[in-house]
Amino acid sequence: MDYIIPRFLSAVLTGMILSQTGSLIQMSSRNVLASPSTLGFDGLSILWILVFHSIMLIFGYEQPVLILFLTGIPLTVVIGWVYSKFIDTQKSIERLILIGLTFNLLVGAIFSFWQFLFLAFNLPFPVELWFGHFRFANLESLTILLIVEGGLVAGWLVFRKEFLLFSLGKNVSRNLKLDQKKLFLFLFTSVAVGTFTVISLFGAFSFLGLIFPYIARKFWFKKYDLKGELFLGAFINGVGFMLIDCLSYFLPIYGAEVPVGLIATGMGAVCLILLLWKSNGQLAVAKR
Amino acid sequence: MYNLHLNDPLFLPHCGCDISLSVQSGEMITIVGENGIGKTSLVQRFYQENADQMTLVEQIPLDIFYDRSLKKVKEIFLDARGHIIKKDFFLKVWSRFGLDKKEDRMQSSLSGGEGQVLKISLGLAPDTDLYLLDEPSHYLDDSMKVVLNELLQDLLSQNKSIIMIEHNYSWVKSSMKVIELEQKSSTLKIGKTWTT
Repeated sequence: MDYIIPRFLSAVLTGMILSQTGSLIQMSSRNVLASPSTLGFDGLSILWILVFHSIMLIFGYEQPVLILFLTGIPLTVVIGWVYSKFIDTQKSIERLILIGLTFNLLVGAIFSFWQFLFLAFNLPFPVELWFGHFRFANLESLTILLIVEGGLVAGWLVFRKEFLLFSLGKNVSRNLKLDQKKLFLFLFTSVAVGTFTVISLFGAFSFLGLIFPYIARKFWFKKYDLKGELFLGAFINGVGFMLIDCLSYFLPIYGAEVPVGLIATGMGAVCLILLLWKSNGQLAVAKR
Repeated sequence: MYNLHLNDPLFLPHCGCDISLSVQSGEMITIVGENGIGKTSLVQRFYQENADQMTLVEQIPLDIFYDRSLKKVKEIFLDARGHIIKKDFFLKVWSRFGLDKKEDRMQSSLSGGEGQVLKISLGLAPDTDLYLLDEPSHYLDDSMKVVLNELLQDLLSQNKSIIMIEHNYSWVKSSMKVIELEQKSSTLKIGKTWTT
C-alpha cells in the first residue's frame, strides 16, 4: 500500500496537471491545437533532462532532483516568457505550434542518436523519458506534484476574475484594461513549471495536454464554466489516467509493465484524430 | 480633446501614413475612404498606441473560444475586477438591443446581427473618453441602426468622443465631421473633410 497509494495519487495529480496546463495554454492562445507538447515545452524539458543526465554521468555525480528542478524550471519558464510575447494573433500561434512540433521531431532525432551513443558505450540511458510511467512514484514525487497543483489552485484564486474576463475575448478584456501581460506570464509560467515537473518525475505523456482540456471543456464547461474545465474536468481526467495506470500495473505483459505514457499517447492520438475528423472545424468552440 | 498623430513611412506594405487628427469632447468623426486604403489599420494603430485611453469596437466578430449563454457573459462582464464599466449604461445598451430577452441563448447560436450588437454592447460599456468604432452598423437592420444612433448620441451628450469608420453613415442623425482618407504619393493622408 505504501507504494500503490502514492503511485495512483501521482497518476491522478499528473493527469490533473496535464489537463490544467493544456487548458491554460489553450485559453491564452485561443487555439485547441496548442498544448505543452505541440508548443515544444515537452521537447525542451526532455532535451534538458538528457543534457543534465549526461553531465551528471560524465562527472560521476548523483542526480539530485533539486538541482534538476533548479536548472530546468528556469529554462522552461524563459521559453514560456518568450512565448507570452509572441502570442498576439492566431497566425503567430499557428507558427509557434509548427515550430514546436518541428522542435519535438528534432528532439526525437537527438533522443534516438543519444540513445544509440549510450548503448554503444554501454552507459545507462533514461529510455523511459519518451513514454512516461509511474514505476518510481513515491512520497517525494507526490509532494512535488501537490505543491505544483497547489500553485495552480492559488493562481486560480488570485486571478479568477481576470481569467474569466480574458476568456470573453482578447479585445473585450483589453478594452477593460486587463493587464494581459501579467496574466500571460502567470499562465505560461504555470505551464512551464507543470510540464517540466511531470516530465522530470515520470517522463513525457504526449497528447494528453491537448486531448484532456478538450474532454474537460466538452463535458464540464457548459454547466460549471471555467471552474468545471480547470478543476472538475481535470480531476475526472486525472482519475481516468489513474485507471489506465491501474491497467498497466495490474496487467503486466510477461511480467513487464507497459508504460502508461505509451498507452495514453496511443489512445490520445487516436482520439485526437477522430475528434479532428468529426469536428468539421468546430473544435474551437466548447460545444453545447 | 484628443490629438492623434501617426507618421510612419512603413505603415502598410504599399504606403506610408501621415495623419493628424483632433477630436473634441462630445464630437463624432467619421472616417471614410475606398476599400483597402487602410482605415481599419489606422484605427487599430491609434488603439495600440493609446489603448489605456480608449476603447475599440473591432470590425471582426467576437472571438467565441468559450461558448456561453448571454446571461453568463453579462455576469462575467459586470463582475470584472477593478475595471471601470458604466454599469447603468451597459444595462441600458443591453436592453435597448433586446439582449435581455435572449439571455438564455448561447453565443454560438447568435446571428451575425445579434453577434454584432453583443460586441457593441461590450465595447461601449468601458468608461473611457474616446470610442473607436469600426463599421458598427455592419449586419444591423434598420431598427438596430436607429438604436445604435440613439446610444451614440447618448455617449456624445456625456461629452465622450467617437471616431468611427463607416461607409454608409446616413443612419447617424446628428451633425458630425466626415474625413475622407486618400493616398497621395504613396502616403495615406487626410483628403476632403466636411460636416454633415
